[in-house]
Amino acid sequence: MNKLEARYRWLLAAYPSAHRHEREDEMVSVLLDVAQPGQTRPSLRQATAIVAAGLTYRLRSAAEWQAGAAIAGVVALGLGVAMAVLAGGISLLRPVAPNVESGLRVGLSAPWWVPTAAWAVALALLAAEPWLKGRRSVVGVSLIVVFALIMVLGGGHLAGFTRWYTVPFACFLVLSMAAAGAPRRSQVAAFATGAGLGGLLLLRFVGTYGRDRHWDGSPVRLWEHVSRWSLSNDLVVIRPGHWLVVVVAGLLLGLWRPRIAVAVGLLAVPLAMLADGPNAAWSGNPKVQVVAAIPTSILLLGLAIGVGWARRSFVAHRPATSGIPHPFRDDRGDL
Amino acid sequence: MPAASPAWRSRSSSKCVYFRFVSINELSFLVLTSLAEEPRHGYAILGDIAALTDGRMEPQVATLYRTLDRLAADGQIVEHSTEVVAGRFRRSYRLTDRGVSDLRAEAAQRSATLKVASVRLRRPNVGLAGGAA
Repeated sequence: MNKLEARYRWLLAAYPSAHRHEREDEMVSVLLDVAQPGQTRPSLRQATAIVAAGLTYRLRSAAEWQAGAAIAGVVALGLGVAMAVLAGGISLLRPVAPNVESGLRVGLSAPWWVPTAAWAVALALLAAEPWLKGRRSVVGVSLIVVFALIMVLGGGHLAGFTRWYTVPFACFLVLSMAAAGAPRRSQVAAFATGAGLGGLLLLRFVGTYGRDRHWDGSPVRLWEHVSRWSLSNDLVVIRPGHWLVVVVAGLLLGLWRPRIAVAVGLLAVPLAMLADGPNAAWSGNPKVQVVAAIPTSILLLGLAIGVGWARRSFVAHRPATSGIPHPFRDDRGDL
Repeated sequence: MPAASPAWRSRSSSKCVYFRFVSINELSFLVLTSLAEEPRHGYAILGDIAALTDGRMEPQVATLYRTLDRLAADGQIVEHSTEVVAGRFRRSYRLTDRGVSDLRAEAAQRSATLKVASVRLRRPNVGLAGGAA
């Protein structure tokens, strides 16, 4: 197998595994037939066509919620990394362009109920899935849209501007990534995990109001309480510059030991929610606030889960490519 | 025993009423035309399309396979044979009865449109009101 063939096979990883099983060898043969003599890399046009077609197939295969959630998870990863890079860029730009932060804060702000509503819509779609026979693609694509909405609106949080979006983000990320890579038998468990985390969020919400004896029912007071649900706290405040470290560490952990990342992530997310913020109303134990590293670990582990499952979803199940050399390494294994 | 149709090919345009009234697109038409002569594999289809169009159309391999998948999902083509030639996997396709009838209908429609276009182009003042008078 030459380098060109290996590179074509890597590009074909954009297709769903079922498609690759059936078509990969055939397509590679034709691609090699049309290649110019001496060609070692796919042309930009070819690569674009292959990746675009592969992603189209993946979207089409979102006929079940698992596939839609998987794609949503990949979308989330891309947006999350973009937001983290944005946050890092802002921290670098702040000395020379002090107004950039305030401008983005306005652009990325959104009412607090938007991410919760999006999460509720997603759960409702998942719950309604069995009754949507023949329209399952609606569920899959809707999940992608909803998650993209959460991520875009939550970008303010990732950039260090707002606090509210991390909770639905974490819930959805766990659900999406578990769905992306979990065996079919585990998908019910994945759904239960995601729904459970969302339920925990709801309990947290109810718990806050149950303990607030001074709430007079006004929306303003409601907002004040919600705005205190911080996933950082006064001891450790996550600044934009930290996100780059978090993202890099999450990527490395996800690539290195995705299963460990999944296990720890599933445990850490509810723990972080319990240890959340100065109110800690749901846990009722102010000492829990000392565990300030846990909020930071949410996205670290969330990203680790994401990378791990995305890697599994995209790269695994490629029997035709097993044992082939890495296309971007030379024969000695160097990049 | 044939396996259940995978999700990625479950979108059969024939199930959609809208698509029944839409003409076959150009690439599909060319693929069907190519296979009307004999069963062909992907590379041979590409070569035949280039010959049919004097090199005007050189679809990407990924685009060709999207078309093949769609035609197969619509029941217009089926797999004819598979073989390995010089280390390369070849799967050839052939038209089904439905593919033949769809191609025939499409060719008739295009031929009729072509005749009308030819007649109109022979008239004076092409494209101007009253040119048909």
